[in-house]
This record gives sequence, structure tokens and C-alpha cells, in this order.
Amino acid sequence: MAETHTRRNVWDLEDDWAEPIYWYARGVKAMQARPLDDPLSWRFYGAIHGADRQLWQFFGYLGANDTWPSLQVRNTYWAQCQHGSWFFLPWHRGYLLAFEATVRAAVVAEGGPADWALPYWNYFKDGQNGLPRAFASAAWPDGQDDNPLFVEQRYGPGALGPVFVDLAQVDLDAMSEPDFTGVASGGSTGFGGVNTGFEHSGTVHGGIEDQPHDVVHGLVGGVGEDANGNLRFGLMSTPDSAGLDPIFWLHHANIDRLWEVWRRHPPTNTDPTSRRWVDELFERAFVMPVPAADGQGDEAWTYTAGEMSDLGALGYTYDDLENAGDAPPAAPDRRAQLAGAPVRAGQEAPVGSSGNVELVGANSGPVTVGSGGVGTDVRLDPAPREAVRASLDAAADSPPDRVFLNLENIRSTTDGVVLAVYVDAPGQADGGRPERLAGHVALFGVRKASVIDSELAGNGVTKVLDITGVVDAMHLESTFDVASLLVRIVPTAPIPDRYRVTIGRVSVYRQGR
Amino acid sequence: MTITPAARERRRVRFPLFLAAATAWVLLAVAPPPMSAGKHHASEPHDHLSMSATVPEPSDPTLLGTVIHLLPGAALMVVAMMWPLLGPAVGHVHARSLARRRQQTVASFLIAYTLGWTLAATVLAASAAAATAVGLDPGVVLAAVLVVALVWEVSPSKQRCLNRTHRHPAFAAFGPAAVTDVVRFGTTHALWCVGSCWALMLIPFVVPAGHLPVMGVITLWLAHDRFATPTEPRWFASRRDRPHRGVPAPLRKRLRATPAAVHGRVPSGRS
Repeated sequence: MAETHTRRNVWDLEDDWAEPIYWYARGVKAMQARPLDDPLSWRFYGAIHGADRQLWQFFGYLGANDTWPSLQVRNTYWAQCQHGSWFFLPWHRGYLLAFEATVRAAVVAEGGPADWALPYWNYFKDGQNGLPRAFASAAWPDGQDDNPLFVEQRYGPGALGPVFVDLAQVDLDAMSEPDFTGVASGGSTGFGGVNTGFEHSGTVHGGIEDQPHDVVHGLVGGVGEDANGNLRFGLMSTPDSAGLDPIFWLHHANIDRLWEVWRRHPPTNTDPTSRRWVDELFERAFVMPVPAADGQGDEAWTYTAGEMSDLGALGYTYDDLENAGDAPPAAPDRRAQLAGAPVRAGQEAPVGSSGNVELVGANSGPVTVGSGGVGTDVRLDPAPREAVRASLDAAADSPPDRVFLNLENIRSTTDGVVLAVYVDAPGQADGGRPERLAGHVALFGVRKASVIDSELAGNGVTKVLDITGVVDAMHLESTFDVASLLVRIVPTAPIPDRYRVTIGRVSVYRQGR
Repeated sequence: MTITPAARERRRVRFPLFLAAATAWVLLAVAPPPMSAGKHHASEPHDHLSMSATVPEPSDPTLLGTVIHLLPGAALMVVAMMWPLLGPAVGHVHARSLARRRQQTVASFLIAYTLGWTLAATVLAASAAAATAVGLDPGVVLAAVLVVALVWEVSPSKQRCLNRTHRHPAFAAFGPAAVTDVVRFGTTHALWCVGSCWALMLIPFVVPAGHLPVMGVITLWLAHDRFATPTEPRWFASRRDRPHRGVPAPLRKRLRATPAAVHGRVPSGRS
């Protein structure tokens, strides 16, 4: 059995430039020195996630002398990342493994440790939501100013302000999802995403992909206008450039770690067993260039989702697989709260992705979100609303419904926007009580998804927010029995006027019996 | 191994569509309706839908009369060939409608779509009939249609239409708008479908024999096309961007494996 590598928390390392970080920087530097068409180069690896000539030129990552690889090479390796799909987690795990092996080979070639492993960034841990310091300055420890971990194109959550993960905008709610896979019809999208084929850019993201994955991308990359009125958005803000930012890999290592934490808490959480997930062979393979076994050049490594399930078999682990953030994931006590009494024995299981999904209501049409936000009334149909209420009343006897807010067909000409979404009964928020926060959504990939001749045919993206907690609270206050809900959608940083966001429809769904 | 909720939803939507399509195929096989305004002779083979001996001539020889004469056959053809492709669109209408209005909205979508396509198919059939009526050699007509279909299939315009068949717009949940919105969706969906498939759909109207097998092959080709991911419109877009699409899995594995490809060994980077 090969040695097991341990990925460690970047903020818990001995110092800002501890060995795993220092050698990561050396490895990145070596990869960056390679030409674009070298499969083991930094930019080639970025392009495996996604590539766009114009965007790369805009960011200064494509020069006149660069060789754009052949169509065959691009069809094999590039623009491969799986988003809006139940392959999101396993595909990125293979991507990380191959990247780690490539950096390790470069580290060894530079005289570094053969057991080097990629660190991860657990922004949820107390005091660790700041960008790790080695990434925030152009200086190496010796003062030289070409530190490859530093990237200028990170604009943070405050429209070109400091770069950090605003903990008020991220959550770990997905860790409570009982099922890995979900539905794209308005209900839970599951922990890991919706059953798809090879899906480079799906419409509906899974729970862990929406939060914290997408939101961290948006918060680190950011979007805003500089003093000259030029649009600025970060490498991390959009899939076609995200892999070029060295912090991308530490962020994804944390998402990868959260997958394993979810699998263990509780152990009844399991990966899909469907053959389509385990070993289906699609028209494109999951394939990565990796250093050749004989040390000469590269070779292609193919893998399936099923092969990515077991960390032990993959030869690595994390220094913390108990805590998603600072503490173990909390067991939800929803039904006890609703019922005010213990749940009947044998009826403890929550409503998972297999429950019946039904539209409860919707607003009257498209809305445009400007810097000041927008409010819209979501009219509720009496019969399904009554079904929700009845299920909440009967929480002691059977699993109550879950309720989801859908922001359908979100389109925008820029990525990097993060929206805060509030839900309430009309008039309730004016009584001095804070509005009920439904959650945050980040528009990662929405720019391309809004283009009609793109993979998403201009449908944009649809975001699904679990508002079960909000509805439970309203129910307990007897304010859910209303004809409509007021939904307010507010960008967390100003959106330049030229780049407004449109939402095709705002709707509410129930999922239950 | 269990079926996923998303797969179950897809099956639930597809089953009635497949059932309707299968019924249409059976009707086309056992009681072929008029598909052409051409002359019919009892001596001609029965597998020839357009020339079936059982098919009466249009009682009204005007253009309107011809169209009315051809409509039932065209509608049956659309149900047989196109409804199996409607799973994603019907699933969208089903999922985004109130449960109490689902039957109404799904039916409105299907009626709008089928009407739109049927009119177009009737025009295609009438065009094919007109070509024969003016005395063009059937072999020449078939060759011309095949060339046009081939060129259209690999053209950027076809890809542009195909991309738009993947549009799934938001629509109203309440009031008359819930129906008018899906009727608009059904009509535009049909329009882009016609734009994408018209050239291939001309072929069954001009082949001299074996209509049903030809329609079957075209249906499979359309399905292969329709369920592919949209891509940038350009010549040979589909073949360029997805060279292994439609290739059987074992052969696909061989085609894409480079000599250096490895599977199963986890990369370590420590040579």
C-alpha cells in the first residue's frame, strides 16, 4: 500500500510560509514557467476547468506567442469541469488528485519533500476566513516580489475591497442534506447535485456546490467598477478562469474535505449506487494529464465517479474529518421544535430528495435586480400552502414538508455577484424585527449560461434555497397563512448599472408526501 | 442499486410521450394516412405511405384542400417522430406548473407544438408533391433533398436552431397567462424544431419506398442530435466538439485512449 498523504489546514500550519505553502509556491512557479500547450503547465491545468480566449486575454493570461492546443487536445482535456451535476464532487476530486501529483512532481524536481500534499482553506473555522497571508502579498519570505500565489485579480466581497470570506454570506446547511442526489424540478438538489450525464455547465447546482462552493468563488473573486468605471471581476468569479488562481485549489480541497465529513456524519449518508454514477462511460471521459510513471513527460489518467468515493483507496486524507467548520455538523431538531413533543418512534427520517415536489406559488413575472435590490410578491396557491401547513401541524407523526425558494432563469452579463435573499409575510419586516434571511446565492458561471449559443442555451441558472427554517418560524408565529410571501433580493455589493441581473421567475415549492 | 429521484421524474414524463409515439407508429404501419397529394394507383406497393392504394385523392384540389388532405398524416408523423424528443420540454412545463393545472399546461404545450409542427410538415409534404407534380424525376428530387439535408445538418444555422430547442423559459403560474405562456413556449419550441429538422424530415416524403424504416432511422438521428449539449454554431459544430458522441461505449473507449492512457492507478507525482 502506498503512503497516505495528509492535507492540512493552511491556517493551522506553523507559520504563513510553512513548508507545504512554500513548496506549493515553488511548484506553482515551476508549472507557470511551462508553455500553455504543455499538459503539465499551470495554464493547461486551469483550462481543464474552463478556458475562454477573450477572457484570458482580458486577464493577461494569453499572449501572442502562446500556442492554443489542437482541437483534439482541447476536446480531450479542456473545459471538462462538472457543474450543476452529481459529478461535481467526484470530478473535482480527480482533478485535485491529478493537480496535486503534478505539483508534487515539480516540488520533488525542485528538491522539495516527496510527501508534499495540498493544504486546504477552512474559512468556516474561527479566525480563518481571511485569505491566507502567503496568498495576499506579492512578496516571498525573502522579500522577492514574484510570489506566484499572489493574484491581483481578487476583488473580495466589498466591490474591490479586502479579500476574505464574509461568514455572514456562507453556510454549511448542505451538510444536513440526507441524500447525495436531488432533483431539478424545484425541490432539494441534494448534497452532491442532480443526476445528469457529462455536464460541464448544468442549470441547477447541488447543495454543497451552491453553498459554500459558489459563494466562496464569488466572495474571493468579487466584482465591481474601478475609479475609471472599468468593470473588474476576479479570476475566481467565473469558471473559465477560476483554475488560474492558486487559492482555487485550497478552496476545492476544503469542498472535497466537506464531502468526506458529510459521508461520516452521520454514516448513513452515502454516495450514489446507480451504475450511471459509479462507472458510466460518457461521450467524454474524465481524464487528466499526470506526470508519467517513468518520470518522462505526461500520460493520460482516466477515472470514474465511483473510483473517487474512498479516500483510503486514493491514498490521502485530511487532518480534520470530524468538523465541517468549528464543530461537528449539528443534528437538526426541527420536528421536535415544530411538534413541541418527541417525534414518534420509527418516523424520525427527514424528507429527502425522493419526496413529492409541487409548486406552491410564484411571482407574476421577471424581475431585475439593481444595486438597491428588488422586492416581489410570490402568490401562494391555497391548496399546496394548506398541504404545507397541515404537514407542519402533524410534525410529531410524520416528516413535515420541506419548502424551497427557486430563483429561476437568472441571467447576467457578469459573474461574481452574490445576492442575499429575504423571505417574509408582507408587512412583517417593518415592525422592527430583522428580515428573515433565506440565504445567499452566487452567480458563478451565470455570464456564460446567459449566452444563447452556449451550453446552457441562454437559460441562465436556477438557484434553489431551502427556506424550510423560515417557513417553520412563520408557522410557529402563525404568519404563514398568507396569500403571498414577500421576497427581497439584494446584492451584497453594488452591481454596476450596466450589469444588472434578471430573474425569470421567483417561485416556492414544497417537497414531502 | 436504486433509481434516482431525478431519473424517476424523467421516466414519469417520458412514458406517456413514448406511449403516444408508439401508438402513432402502429397507426402509420397498419392504416397509413395520406401523406402526399400525388396520384395513387392500386398496383403500387403498400409500404409507400404517399402512394398507398388505400389512400383517396384530395376531394378539393386547391392548395387549402391539399393541406387539409395531408394534415392528419402529418400530425401522426409528428407525434411518432417528435414526441419522444419532448421529454425535457414537457418535464419543464410539468415541473414549473401548479399541480392542479399540470394537465392543462402540458396539454396546451403539446397542442401548440404539434399544431405548429404539423403545419410545417404539411408544407414539406406539399412541396414534395409539387416537385413530383411538375414532372421532376423522383430520383433527382431524392438526390437533391439528400444533398440539402446533408449540407443543412452540418451548417451553423442548423446548430443555431438546435441550440434554441434547449430554451426553457420561465412562465406564469396563475391565470390565463399560465396557458398563454406555455402555448407561446410550445409554438416557439416547434419553430426551432422545424428549423433544426426540416431538411431531414423532407426525406420520408420523397423516398420511393420503405418510408417507415426511413422515418425510424431519422427519428434515431434526431434523438441523437436533440439530446446533445448545445454548442457554438459553426460548420460541423457537433462533429468537431463531440467526436465520440453516438459511438458505442466500448469503441469510444478504444478511440479516445491514447497509448499512454492509464486507468485505475492513482497518480502520485513521485516517479
